[in-house]
Amino acid sequence: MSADILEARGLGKRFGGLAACSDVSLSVREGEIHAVIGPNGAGKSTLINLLSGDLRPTDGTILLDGRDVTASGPHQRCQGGIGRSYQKTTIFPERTVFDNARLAAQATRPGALAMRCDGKRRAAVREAALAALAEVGLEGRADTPARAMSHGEQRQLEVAMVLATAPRLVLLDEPLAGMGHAEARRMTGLIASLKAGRGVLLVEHDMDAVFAIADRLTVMADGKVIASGTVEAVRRDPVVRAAYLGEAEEVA
Amino acid sequence: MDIGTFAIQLLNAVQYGLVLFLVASGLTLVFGILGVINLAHGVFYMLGAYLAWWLTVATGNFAVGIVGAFAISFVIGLALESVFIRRLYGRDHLSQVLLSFGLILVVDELRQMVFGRDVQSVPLPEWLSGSLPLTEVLNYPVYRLAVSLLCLAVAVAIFLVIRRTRIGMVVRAGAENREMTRALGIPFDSVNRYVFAVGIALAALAGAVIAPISTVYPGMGDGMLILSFVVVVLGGIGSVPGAAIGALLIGLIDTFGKVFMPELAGILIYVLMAVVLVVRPTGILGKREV
Amino acid sequence: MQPLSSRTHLALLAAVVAAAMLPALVPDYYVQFAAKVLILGTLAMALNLAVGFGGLVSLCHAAFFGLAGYVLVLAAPEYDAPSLLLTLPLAVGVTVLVALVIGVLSLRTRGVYFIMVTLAFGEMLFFLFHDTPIGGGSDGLFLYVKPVLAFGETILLDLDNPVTFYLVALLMTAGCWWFIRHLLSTPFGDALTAARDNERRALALGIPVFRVRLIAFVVSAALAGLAGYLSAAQFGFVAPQMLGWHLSATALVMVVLGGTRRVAGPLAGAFVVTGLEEVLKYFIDDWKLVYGLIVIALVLVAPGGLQDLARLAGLGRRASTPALKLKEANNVG
Repeated sequence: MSADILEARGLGKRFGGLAACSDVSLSVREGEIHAVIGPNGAGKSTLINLLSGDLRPTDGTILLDGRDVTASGPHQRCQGGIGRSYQKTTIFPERTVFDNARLAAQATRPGALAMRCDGKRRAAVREAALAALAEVGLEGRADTPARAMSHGEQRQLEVAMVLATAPRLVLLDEPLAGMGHAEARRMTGLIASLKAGRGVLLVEHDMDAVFAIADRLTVMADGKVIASGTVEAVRRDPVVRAAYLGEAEEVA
Repeated sequence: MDIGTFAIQLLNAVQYGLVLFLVASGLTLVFGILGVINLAHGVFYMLGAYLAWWLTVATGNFAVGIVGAFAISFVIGLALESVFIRRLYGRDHLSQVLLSFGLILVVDELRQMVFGRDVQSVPLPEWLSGSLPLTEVLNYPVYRLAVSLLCLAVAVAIFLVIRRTRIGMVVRAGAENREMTRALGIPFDSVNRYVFAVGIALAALAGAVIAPISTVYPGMGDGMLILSFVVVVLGGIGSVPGAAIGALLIGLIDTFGKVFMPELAGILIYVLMAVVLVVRPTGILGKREV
Repeated sequence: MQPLSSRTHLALLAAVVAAAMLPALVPDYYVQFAAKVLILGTLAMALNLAVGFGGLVSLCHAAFFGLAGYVLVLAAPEYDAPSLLLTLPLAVGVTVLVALVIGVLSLRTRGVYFIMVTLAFGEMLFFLFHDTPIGGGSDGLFLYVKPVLAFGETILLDLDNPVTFYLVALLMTAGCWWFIRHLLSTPFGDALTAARDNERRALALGIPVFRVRLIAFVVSAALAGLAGYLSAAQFGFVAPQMLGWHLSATALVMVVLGGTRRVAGPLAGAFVVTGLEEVLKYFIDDWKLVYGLIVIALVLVAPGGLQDLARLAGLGRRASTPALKLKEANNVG
């Protein structure tokens, strides 16, 4: 079994008096997809923001490859190997698809802030950007302005940008949100392929997709973890069935 | 420093802070509710002083000067909002900066055409020009006390309007969430116009009441604009209580700075601002960024 | 932006050579006017590195401009020619240090706070020279002898000569254009514009946004200082107004008029604004009224600057091509 890439211990976040997240512990290993599910307001998005560094936790520690990164900002964590997507698509709409990927590839490679043009470095960045686009199936759209693409393609581009930063851990915040059936199926396949050589933490509402591709599940409610384990174990867990899955199945 | 001198300096500091609050509260409300940064705010402080001078000399009545400066500026504010400012809602800050810079040039030049460029002073009526004995040797001018009381009354009125009235509720809701206010069908447009006009009129009122103590001169708005920006940065944008705290802090630091460290007094408020930026970049009462 | 091609370099060279012909063609008065435009144009281009490409609306660049001018005058010996090689690095160096401190503090804030804080720090420098005796107070200081570039006894460049001065200003402007244009084609430039477009995404891609902005702010202050040095040398005089925020705002007018997404745009803006000012001053007593109305009209009618004006005048047929439409969309965003 491979070692944990990411480990969160007793993570908590309060906004004033409100605890959005409390005492959350979980880990992600290389080669696995760890899905976090739970009703709206369970604290899933807060958790992702804590792990990516967009929010600072009030309690707990975050270890990346055993190193404490709790106090690092989002750009330092990205340099450390954490890449993330946002629930609301966050790309550079006025730039081309290739430029979006190129920015991502350039920022995590040597010479990210260089003030000189270097043909060799440019070529390497270009190659990495195109590889990331190819991995999500957008290689044919490189010259399209990002804003001219469909919602589904923009979500794919966002994943490509995450991949272009060469992450070891990928955080995906509801990557299927707002997608049509066919688009969602393609994206699910893509997510399943991401775990090769990486760890994936997935927050998602689409239960069919989660059960199809997750290796481990953590269930959250009211900011706390109520169950965690393999997909099968969590599915059989009576607390989860009562508190969450029952509702979800009725809704779906 | 003996207790009498200290008391006088303290009164001066509070008076200065209260006048500053009148200017800054308008600025912070206009930004908090309209989302517009108005560099022309200081120019209305200057205009208020000139209006007060002109009306006082023309009518021989100081009260007419003060009330008139407030009322005329209020009307100008209503007009400016309808013609220019409303086109800035939702525009980028750069456009707002430039348009209000243009307004400064226009208002300043118009002031020169109407009132000239001379330095003026406003005569005080007899009943305000006396002094109150503070100790056996020290006196305090009645007028400065009157300025403090007037500003205090206006400050309390602002707080009451915001906390207690329906208009205030709209103002608070607008500052919290503009879209929500619109969705609830609250007459946002007219609220905007009155907030802008009141903001301008408060700056003019401050200029008018300060006119008899200071002199009335063309560039007097510039320094006030910078100071009220510092007040807003200290207190937090959109926060009226924050503006009150910031204004009083600056009043105290500037007044006592001039007493104890006359060479450094001009720099002290910027040092204070730097400290606040390091400790709390969103201001003392500003909303913390996540 | 794409890296500079050899074609761009040739075009730049041609433009510089053509502009260098100017003193042979027009009277001295116009040469001096042209030098003034080049200096203010450099200030505006420098400011636009922060405003247009960094998304940082700074109102303290006049303070950097004026500060460098003051350093030149203060460092100059009273009756001898100051050495260009000594005073220029000193002036720019002091500006860089001050910009570093102001930048570290101001960049902790965003948007409208940043505008207010830079305005306040800029005015702090204004009052420093206005209210204290360091720089001669509100009267300012004279520079009696212009800087020279000399090796031993040989004088290579004497800025007292208007033609030499114009050529030096021209070289500085061309150099600034080239430098900013080059910077924007490097990874650093990409990081800067990415942080402008979406700070959160830029951070999540691993870009150290604060550091990038600080570097850009300091670089743009240094270039503004360079322009301020030459301005003090041109007029032989510095006064607190040179640091005041009205000049910062005027430079912003140049930036917006010329277009914020082009490196050379602010230079064109400087030409129009400076020319307009001369013409208005000549014909109208209350010229500031007209100037103010023009600024207001610019914001309301043509927020895209000269490009918008050209279109309004019916000159912009090219604007209907898709590539330019995309550029316009960029200007709006």
